[in-house]
Amino acid sequence: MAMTEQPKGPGLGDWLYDRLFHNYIWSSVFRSGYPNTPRNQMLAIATNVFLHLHPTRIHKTHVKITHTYCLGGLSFFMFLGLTVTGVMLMFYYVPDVNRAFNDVQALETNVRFGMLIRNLHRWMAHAMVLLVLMHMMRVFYTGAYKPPREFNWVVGVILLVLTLLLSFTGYLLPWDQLALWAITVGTNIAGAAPILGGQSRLVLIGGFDVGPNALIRFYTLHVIALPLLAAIFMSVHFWRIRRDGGLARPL
Amino acid sequence: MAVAAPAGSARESVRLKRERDQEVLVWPDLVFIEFIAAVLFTITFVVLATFFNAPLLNKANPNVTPNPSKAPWYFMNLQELLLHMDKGLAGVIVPTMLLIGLMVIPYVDRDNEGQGTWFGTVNSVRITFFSFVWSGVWISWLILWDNGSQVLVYQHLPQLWGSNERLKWLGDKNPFKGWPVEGVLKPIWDFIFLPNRLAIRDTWHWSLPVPFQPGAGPHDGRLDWPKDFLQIPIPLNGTWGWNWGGKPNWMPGWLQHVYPYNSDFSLPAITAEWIVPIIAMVGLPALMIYILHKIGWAHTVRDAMIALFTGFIVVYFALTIVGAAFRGKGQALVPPYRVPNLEKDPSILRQVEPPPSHLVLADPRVVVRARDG
Repeated sequence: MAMTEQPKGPGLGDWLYDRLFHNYIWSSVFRSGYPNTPRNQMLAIATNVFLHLHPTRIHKTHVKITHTYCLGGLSFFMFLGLTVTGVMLMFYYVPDVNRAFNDVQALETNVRFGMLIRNLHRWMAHAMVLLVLMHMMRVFYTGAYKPPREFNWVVGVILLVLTLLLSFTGYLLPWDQLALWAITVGTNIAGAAPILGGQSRLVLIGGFDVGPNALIRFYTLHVIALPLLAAIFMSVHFWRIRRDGGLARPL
Repeated sequence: MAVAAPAGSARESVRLKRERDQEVLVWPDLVFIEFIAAVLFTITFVVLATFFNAPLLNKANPNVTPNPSKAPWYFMNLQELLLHMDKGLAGVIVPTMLLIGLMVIPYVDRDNEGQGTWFGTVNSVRITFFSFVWSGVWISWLILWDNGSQVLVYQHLPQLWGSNERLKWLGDKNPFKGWPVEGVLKPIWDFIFLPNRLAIRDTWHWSLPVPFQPGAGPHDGRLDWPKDFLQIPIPLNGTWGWNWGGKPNWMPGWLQHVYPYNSDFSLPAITAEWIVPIIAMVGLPALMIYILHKIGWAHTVRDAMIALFTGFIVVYFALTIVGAAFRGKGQALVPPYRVPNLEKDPSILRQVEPPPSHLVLADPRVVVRARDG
């Protein structure tokens, strides 16, 4: 009698898998099954609002780390991290010249993990500026701005400017000596423009000196106007990567 | 036609099939990398934020100016640039031109050759290297020159070489004394050894006999720098050339508002603040591209773009580093260890006060810690 191995009945793992991923609630949230087959893996990307920025398949050179060093993605990740930590900081911060500095001090000393959140926000902001610059260098030296990606490079330059402005407007908010004088120096640079300099400085800081008006203007720009603009341009930037045929690669 | 079509589409499908073989699935291959990168960066930043605190100095006080006051680091390149040219040129015109320049790169360089690979064209690596060295050397030299650092060399080189006699002319104030063309050679000699850019305006001096000076009215028969160049009327203001009768009413209103028709300009100041910096900023990159072309490295627009972009990056970071680490009190050029540390300077030392009572939360230990600093 030849002993052939008979298939065993479903084990505990299979039962659990079936219960977890083949039920009414799971399939109401994720339309595809668990991504363990090529079909489901592609569906996982295509049917997810966050992941569908990706194509379902990409050229294998594009997953080499040295092709991009993940710089663009990491810039975006910094933006996300800054949004999360920034929202947390907003809980404790009031953009009023009498309160702002004390709020930051209290955040550092009295709020559990307040110092950590502020530090994270600061270092991620510096890192984002660096990462965006490095991303621009990567795109340049790999010739990735060439047709048909010309316009996306322009969007990228706009995003670089928005990143610098985001960082600059945030610099004033702690309302300490470092903030006040850095913004005074920075806005004086803007005020040096030949014809419209004085006017543009006036509009930027809402007065002749960096004071209460400047603080509320920078705060509003920093927490809503510039992030919204950046988000819009980022959407265009990511969308255009897909539309222009993915990452650049040799013809 | 009817025969060719299936053959073409067959070739097409073979090509597509080969393309497919080169592809990987985004889930898991790319999503996994993104996930790992995100985790690594999160850990790095949590560790960084645990050990390095964000700075917080005294409360903002408009009456106490820190010396030096510095912009955020990514604008310190502009702040450094302000020390070397007119404020409007450095603070607004140059950055605007640079941003426009960056945006037009893909519209100027449209050739697809070498795209999608690092340094995809033949000479791109050596062009990058050349531009790196060229820009680094020139920007360092320009900063040192505008600081007057080379004066030390002129003063000490003759001594360093042992014999004062051999290189005496180098430190000599006027080696052309008594020469027939002294009046021309001496200003050129002085110009070469000018201590810095502003000396063109302030200390450079020459006087040439020019008997005929059109439109100058009664004059002393000589043209003196800088005396005779300090108040040159703006063109079209009615004092020279055609007389437009004062206000140029033929101009549109907005132009009359903008055009400084009733003022003079100082040529020495314009030279020092605008002309010399612009010559450096336009001339040196142009010269670099000319050299790269002449030695046969740069052939295409892409090559020129690589040279220019590398120069931009080098100058951007060089100015940032000099502005951040080499500018001390009064924006003087000093070694990094003499740059004042804002957090240790007594005049702006952070005061550790207990926060106001309405902000103190209930936990008594926290209050004690806040008071102890």
